[in-house]
This record gives sequence, structure tokens and C-alpha cells, in this order.
Amino acid sequence: MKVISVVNQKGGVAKTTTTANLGASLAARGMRTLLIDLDPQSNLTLGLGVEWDQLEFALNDTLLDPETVPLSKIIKRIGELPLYLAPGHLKLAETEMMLMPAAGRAYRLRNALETLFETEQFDWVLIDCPPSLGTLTQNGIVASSHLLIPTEPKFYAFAGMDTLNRMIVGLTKDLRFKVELLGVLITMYERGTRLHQLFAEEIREQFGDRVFETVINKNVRLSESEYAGMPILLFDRKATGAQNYEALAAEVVKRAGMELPQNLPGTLDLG
Amino acid sequence: MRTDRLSNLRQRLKRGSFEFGALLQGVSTMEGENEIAEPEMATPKIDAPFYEPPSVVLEEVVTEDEIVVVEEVAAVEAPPAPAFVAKPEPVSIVELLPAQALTELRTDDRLR
Repeated sequence: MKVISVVNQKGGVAKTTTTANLGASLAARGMRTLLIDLDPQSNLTLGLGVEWDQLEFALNDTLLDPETVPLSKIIKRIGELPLYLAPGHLKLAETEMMLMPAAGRAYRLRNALETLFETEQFDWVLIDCPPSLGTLTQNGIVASSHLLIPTEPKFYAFAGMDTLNRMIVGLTKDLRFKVELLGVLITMYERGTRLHQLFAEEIREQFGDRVFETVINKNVRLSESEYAGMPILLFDRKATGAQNYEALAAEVVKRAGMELPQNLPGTLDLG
Repeated sequence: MRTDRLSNLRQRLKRGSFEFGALLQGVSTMEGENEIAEPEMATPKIDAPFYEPPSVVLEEVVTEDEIVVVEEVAAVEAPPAPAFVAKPEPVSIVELLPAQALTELRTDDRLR
């Protein structure tokens, strides 16, 4: 099992789009995949067709009171795929402030996942982190074995990776965790734009083979699938965006050294 | 012209103090692979310069022994408890008024 934080301090670099569509592509390969919406904007939750008023509990409840509301109590199954979602909520912003004085605040998600893994197993857990470097993002990083960094080939997104690097260095002084980079993903790429080419070259020069060969091209069908409340794979499998994420899933599986899916134990298929 | 601008940008990126070492190398602060992490203490970090308050001259501190002595002295010098004071006897109004007023008062009594 791999726990991957999809993270970049810069907003609007397709963190949520990547979490949803990479997750769906992995699940389409028969791999049991859990998505965690750690962003108070909760676009992952909304983009997968889950409405807040349908939820009795969400991730904010788990982070505040994991004994009363464990992860298993909030997870929803998405469609027919072995794809699951721990939904987020706008209240996560409030939760982040409430956690500030709490001891062990950066370990809340990791502890909740450890409890979940006692009864449920997944091939992949993808965490959609907020575009900030606060307690919620710390929870994501500390709970993860790997980081996946989507970046638009533009200056601010490039600088955002530097900021993320500094944050991780800072976390090593206070927290106990182990994480490595799975890869940098170039998103929203426009082949005809010279500036994008330049930044893509620069990113590859800085990160070498850590940059995924797959590039996510700018594709309006991706935005349309979000509006429709489903992954691009289910919305339009022939779209460029769907093909890009299919290729990314294949690369991620290969890079992580994962084997073919197995029938993992769990009870969440009822959902 | 446009190529020049991109070239300048490339040079700026090269000169930029971007650091990706922790991302590239990965980080681990775990001492044991299976060790359960202890929660961190909520220790606030103070980055602001330390403010030293102005020094204040305090009055001489009185020790506990000295307080006892003071109390003993005070006990010696304290006046004795007041003796029982008898309640004053009621005084007749006749004794308090001057003779002229007493005459006027008696005159008024006759008019009634």
C-alpha cells in the first residue's frame, strides 16, 4: 500500500483534478483506492458528486474526534469502481484552527489511517492537500509514504515547490515522519506555449527523472467532468485528459513497484 | 526580442536560490521503521526579538521572622481593650433647655 499526498503550496495547479482522476484510473485497474479530501474547499468531494447535505459526518469530524467518528464511518464508495472517498467539508478550515493548540495535531490523520488499516486495506491512498502549508497539509505529509507534486509550468508553481521543500525541512525539526518524492507532474500544459516549454525544461533539469514522463495537457473535458461530478474516465474516456491520466496511472504503478491488484480484505464494498 | 526575454528568464531561474534537496532526497526522522511516533508538544516558537522590561527598584523585602517581631511589638503597644461603658441615663428636657425657653414652653401649654 502506498499513501500519497498530492501537494503543492501553489493553488490552481490541478491537485484536486489529479487526485480524482489518478485515483479513478488506478481503481479502474482493479486497485482498491481511497481518496482523502483534506482541502476545506472540498472540491474533490463536490467534484465526485458528493453533496455536503448528504453527509452525516466528514473528515473534520474524524480529525477532531477520531474515536467517535473513525474514518470507516465517513468513507463513501464512488460509483462502481473500487474507489472510495473520505469527504471533506468547509468546516475543515475551522478544524485547522481548533487543532492549533492540540498536542499531536499533525498526527491526527496518520493515527486515523492506522486505525482504519486494522480492518480495511487499500492499494492506494491519495490525499488531496490544501494549497497552504498549515496543520492540514502537515497532517497529509506526515501520514504519507510518498509525495506527488503537480505543477503548472509557470513561475509561481515552480517557486511553490521551493516553498514546499523549505516546509518539509522545517517539519523534520519537530515531527517524526518518513516521506519520499514519487514524482513531479507537469499539468495544464500547452504545447504551443514557449513559456510552458521553458518551465517544463527547467523542471526536468532540476528534478531529473523524478519528473513523470506523462504530462497532463490542458483539456476542457477535465473541467466538464468536474461539473458533471465524475472522473474524466467515466465522463469521456477518449478525451485527452482521460488518456493522460491513464498513462500517469500506468507510470505511477510502475514507479511505485506495485504488483497486480489482489482481493484485499475489507467491508466497505457495501457502500 | 521575445527569444531574448525567454533567455533572460532562463538565466533568472538559474540564478534563483531555489532549493529542492529535501524533496529530491526524501526525509526520514523515524528512528525505527515500526516505531510509533510520539505526538509533538505544542511548543510555540517565538521568532520576535526578546523584549526586556525596564528594571524596577523594589522596596526592601520584609522577611517572615521580622513580621513576627513586628506583630509582637504591636501586641505590646496596643491599648488595652476598652472597659465596659455604661449606657448613659436619659436626660430630662427641662434640664437641657434655658430658663427663658422653658418659660415660653410653659406659656404655650397654657394657651392650649
